[in-house]
Amino acid sequence: MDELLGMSLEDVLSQEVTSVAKKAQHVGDAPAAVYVISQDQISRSGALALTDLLRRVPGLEVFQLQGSATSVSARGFSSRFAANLLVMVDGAAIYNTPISGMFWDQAIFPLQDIERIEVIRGPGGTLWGSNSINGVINIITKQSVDTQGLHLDVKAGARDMRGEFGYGAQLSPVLGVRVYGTYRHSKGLQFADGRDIGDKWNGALGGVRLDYAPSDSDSVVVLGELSGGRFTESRTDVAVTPSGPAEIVIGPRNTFDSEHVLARWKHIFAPDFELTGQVYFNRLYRVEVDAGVSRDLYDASLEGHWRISRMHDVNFGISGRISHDAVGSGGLVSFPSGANTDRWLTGYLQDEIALVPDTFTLTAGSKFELNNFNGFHVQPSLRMFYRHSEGLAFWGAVSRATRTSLLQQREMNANFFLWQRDKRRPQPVLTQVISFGNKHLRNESLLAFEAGMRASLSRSWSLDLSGFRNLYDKLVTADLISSEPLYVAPYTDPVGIRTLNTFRNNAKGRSWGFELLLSGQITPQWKTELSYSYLDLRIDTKTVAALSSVPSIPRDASSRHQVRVSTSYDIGDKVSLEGALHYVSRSFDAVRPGFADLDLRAAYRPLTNVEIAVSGSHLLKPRHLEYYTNYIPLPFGYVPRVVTLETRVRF
Amino acid sequence: MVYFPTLKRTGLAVIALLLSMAPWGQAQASDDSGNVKAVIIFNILRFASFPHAGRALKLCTRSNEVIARNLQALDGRSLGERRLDVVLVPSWSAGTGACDVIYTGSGDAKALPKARYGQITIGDGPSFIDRDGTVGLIDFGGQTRFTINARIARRADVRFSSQLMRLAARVIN
Repeated sequence: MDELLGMSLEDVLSQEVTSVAKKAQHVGDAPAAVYVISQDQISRSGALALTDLLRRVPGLEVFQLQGSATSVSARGFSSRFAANLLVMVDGAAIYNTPISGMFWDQAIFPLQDIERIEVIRGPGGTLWGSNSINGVINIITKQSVDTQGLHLDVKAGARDMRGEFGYGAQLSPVLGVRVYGTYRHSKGLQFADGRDIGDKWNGALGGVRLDYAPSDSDSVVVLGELSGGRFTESRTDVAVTPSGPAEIVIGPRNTFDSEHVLARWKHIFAPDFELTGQVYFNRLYRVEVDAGVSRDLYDASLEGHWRISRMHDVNFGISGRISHDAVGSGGLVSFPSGANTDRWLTGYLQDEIALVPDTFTLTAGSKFELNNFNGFHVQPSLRMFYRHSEGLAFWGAVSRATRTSLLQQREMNANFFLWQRDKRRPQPVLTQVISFGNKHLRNESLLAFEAGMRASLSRSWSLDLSGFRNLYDKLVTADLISSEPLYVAPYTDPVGIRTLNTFRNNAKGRSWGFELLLSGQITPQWKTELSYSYLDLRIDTKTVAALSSVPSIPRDASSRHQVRVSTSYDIGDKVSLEGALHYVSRSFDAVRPGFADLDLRAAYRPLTNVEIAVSGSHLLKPRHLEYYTNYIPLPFGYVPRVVTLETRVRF
Repeated sequence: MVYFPTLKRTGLAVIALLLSMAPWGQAQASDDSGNVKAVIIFNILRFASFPHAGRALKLCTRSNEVIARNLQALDGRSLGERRLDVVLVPSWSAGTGACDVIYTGSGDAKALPKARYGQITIGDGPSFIDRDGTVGLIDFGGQTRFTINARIARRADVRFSSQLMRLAARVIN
């Protein structure tokens, strides 16, 4: 009971980490670099999007690059789709195979229905499988019985609008239901001079969730959700002018729609043995880069947790996944076979061995994965946790993780123009990139060494330090096959270069770094967090000549340093103030300068069920650049200052 | 087929082991769940302001309640400026006038003597707050959460912090 009394009420109700060990455990006992975004932090934020919440996680890089796109990555490799990070909602992966990552803009389920977000930096392959090579984000939503009554939340400003509603009810002692919905509109990014780029985004989502718990030993969740929207993409292209080819920005209008159903049953056979079965189906259609992608995803899993004895705590599971992707060819990409089906069969086994109960724990396990395009591979890990005293603990881990080769690199051909620039070449060079997929690509692999420490400095202050050394092998590269002068009609002289490329596993990488988090309370009403992260990342390609071989996800857009200070202060019970100052150093390729960001929020509660707030994001400058890369036809899109008024009501 | 008898024997052994673990496990789980419920009650009281500002806050419950022992373990704990006194009574007819908080278990708040000024009731079940209870505890899917009838609390002049209200599964305003 003393342990429970040491936790906050929110902790007692819900604060448990399931992503590290696939079982409930306290954050302080997890042998991994884990950060939990709590319900209280979500409630106090003025976030307009899920990705805004992720900015507070130490070491995570969150950069907006289009109105419809945000890059989220851990420990480097910032890219349009951040293919090294596995993202799940309630344990169901919402990672998209054909585009190798997340459509973050489509993740618009109500923020007020999120119970917590668990973010693990570092490999999670042993339990979660491929593509969790640099981290796992698990978004856990509230059960319907936790959101009874009607909730409304509307945020509106000159550039953005977000409205959420949810209605939950307990229909009987064993049955709860919630219906919910979100609408979001954003004007997108701006050019450096303040003009709108025009990459607007409009979308809506609706869903229903049923929770059925006929006994303390059984819980069933059935969830159905559908969403749709339209957005304008921003992309650079080539215009013919009398003085030569010129860079222009075009804005094709695109659409998306998605439906998914999930059913999960958990049965506790005995207090120390439980099984969870889950089935998930998602149908997605999205038009982007002139191509329509449609995907049917089927996923089924059976997982178990068995505490065999005081010494052995075992997790095991099997799962199967089928992803059928059909890609319509457009001007930029073509998919010769038209359709593709990937199949995975995976299993995992992990034993947590309490060598000295409550003091020293060793966790060993492995994931075994078989798929129809990369064959069989294993992802083992060994983790240890040592509690030196009540206020001081250490952990360490050695893991192997893999990233399967991506459909777009295996099967797709691409043909597009880039205006490439760097600090040595202020004038951009026009490059036509023609690339061909390579069916023989192998898995990328990572050998990771991690260590960490958690210390309670006093009753109200704690320190969390994580360090890592990552060794990457067989990183996918875009390799030059040939190059020639580029001729574009009606010009008679070459206007740039044309390159023919394909994908190979021709790079190795190594990185090291650390993340530091100091959190605590100055007074009971005044909470503060200070974090600093450092990243050193190097990628070596086998070929030497410039442009002859470049990593498909280069290190360029990532940053070496990030510092964040956030604070919240309550004045009585009616007023809450929040603030966060965030600094990100310049990108590794020096194209994007370092930037500082300030977010502020003031909330007033005239009644216990009403909250009115004003929020400002990116307040230090009218606009700033967060992301740019030379390898996709992306304009310089500046993230503007945003001020919104928010009203929350609960009946 | 050679492996089948072995698998069968192993399966039976596993089932036998699970069954043999159950009674001890159930007792342990019941105690754990009682502790969680008691700590949730304790935390709710930390976020409540009562009109009477005595040194002790008196929490009364019947001695035969399932979590009486878990609540008793909280006796004497500090609630900030006040101390929690847990009082076990043989039955409600023994009188509840001196209690600031009454935990009724699965009993009905309407069956209690009429709540006085500054007094709140806590009980189990999703409909507890619909029947004049102040704070309800709901067990659902092995987890416990709480609901609040803010109208009844206001009538008793007891205030709950907005932070607590945000965490409540349901609030009647």
